[in-house]
Amino acid sequence: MSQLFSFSRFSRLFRRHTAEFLPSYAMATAVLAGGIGLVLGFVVYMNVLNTTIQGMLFMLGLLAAGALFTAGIFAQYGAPKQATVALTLPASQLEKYLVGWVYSFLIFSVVYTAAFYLVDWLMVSADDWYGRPKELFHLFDAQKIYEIYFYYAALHAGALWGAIFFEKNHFLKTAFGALVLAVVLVAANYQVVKAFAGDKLQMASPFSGITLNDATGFYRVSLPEAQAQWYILLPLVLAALLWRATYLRLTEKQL
Amino acid sequence: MVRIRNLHFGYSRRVPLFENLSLTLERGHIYGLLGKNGAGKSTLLKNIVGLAFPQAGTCEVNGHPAAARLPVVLEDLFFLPEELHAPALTADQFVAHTAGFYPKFSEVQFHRYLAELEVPRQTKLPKLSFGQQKKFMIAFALAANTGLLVLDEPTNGLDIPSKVQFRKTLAGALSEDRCMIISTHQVRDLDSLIDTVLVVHNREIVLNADLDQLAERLTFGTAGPADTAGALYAEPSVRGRQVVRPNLGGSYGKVDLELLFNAVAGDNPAVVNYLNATPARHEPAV
Repeated sequence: MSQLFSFSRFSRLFRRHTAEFLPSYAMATAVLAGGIGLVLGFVVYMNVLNTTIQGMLFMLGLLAAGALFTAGIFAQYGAPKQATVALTLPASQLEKYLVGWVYSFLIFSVVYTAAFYLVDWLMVSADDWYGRPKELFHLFDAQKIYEIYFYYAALHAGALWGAIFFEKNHFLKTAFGALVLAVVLVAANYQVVKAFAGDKLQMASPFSGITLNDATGFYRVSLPEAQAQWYILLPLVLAALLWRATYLRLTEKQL
Repeated sequence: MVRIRNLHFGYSRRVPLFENLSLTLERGHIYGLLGKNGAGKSTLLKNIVGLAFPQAGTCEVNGHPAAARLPVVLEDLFFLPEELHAPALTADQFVAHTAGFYPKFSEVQFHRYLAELEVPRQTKLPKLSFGQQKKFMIAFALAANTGLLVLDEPTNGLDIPSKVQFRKTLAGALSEDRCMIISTHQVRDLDSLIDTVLVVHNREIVLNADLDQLAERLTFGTAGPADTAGALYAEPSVRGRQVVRPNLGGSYGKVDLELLFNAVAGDNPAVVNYLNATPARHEPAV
């Protein structure tokens, strides 16, 4: 039997994890649905829950709730008593990693999407659209809301890395680290671009075009549309790197 | 079974816990690992089960590096830590979801051990007392029938009848295929249980000896105040001076583990020097 991955071992580990954590996951799902209901209910009370607002709230909720849930998915490796059991259980480190990954990325995405659509449908049904036809937002229409899953992948990978790297307060520490990193990255990127473009540089953020300001006025320099569309792969590349880093961190975990 | 060579380990590079430590543990033995608080007993066990990684040297279980935590190693190894985590499952649920990881797990044995140790099966584990949780895990650990069983302070939290039952159950579970390591600072709990004693002191294993061999080479007894001539070690007690002497008469007595431990882990190296003068099983640094 392979020492890296065995499906029977993985499914056994998955079932064990489910048996141990299902009650708390079920409770978390109820809280998630309740939270979505509160936010959407507030919008319904104040305004019309149109598809644009639905889509925006869906994306914000996915990122926020996903980061929060993922940051705690490896909490058992931070507590020595639980970590002893988790690390010495006869399964490969890849299988242990994948159980956390599947729950926090795949299953969470499906559960969140289903919970949001269910609550959204209930709220839209209860909303008054003043005679106009009611509709739910679409993941795959021209607004390309589905692309949020790519960004969620990057955020998930960062949160997952924090979940294994820190031993407690995973979410706070990861969020703080990400904030510091983002500030440093933006500042460093601006200085580097300024060294090339000179004082006429007005605005430059990482992985996007730049805005210049000279005697002729403001103008923007960016990649042609055909090439700029590849930016969407950036979060996936970042996610792959961080997922790999998280796995390696798990293999190096000591007590 | 376990092969440690030139192990260097410390939680800080500047303060090593082990230096150049070498040790071999074989199947068919129950080893008692003794040491003072902070000597590194638990840390040595963590290195053996792959929860801590050597800074230098090697630590192998069945020929595989313990730090790799390979399934083939883990399914033949059970580690019972001093502090337990009891998941929110009943005994039967725990077995249903965990026993499958251990190919030689015997449910019949498990239920027998639970009965011997008087642990209820239907209560959720976190609802059990600490002692009951510990006995449950001991029963599971024994029923897993792993080649290597590592118990860290297993008698902590057990009442006196449970300690007696623990010794009986453990002794009954030893087989030629099995290697058991029990770490404790309560030396008396290992009485009549272990066959080999390991003492970790001053960053190394200072004693690795078969109790039968120790009984052949040392005698343990009580002496009057002026009767300590020839003693390798002596300490006062309410019954008089407890002494360790070379066994020159060839009589075969019982090893007083507590006295032996005090003699070996103290400042006086006479007992260790005497035993090392004609080395038996202790392995010097390679």
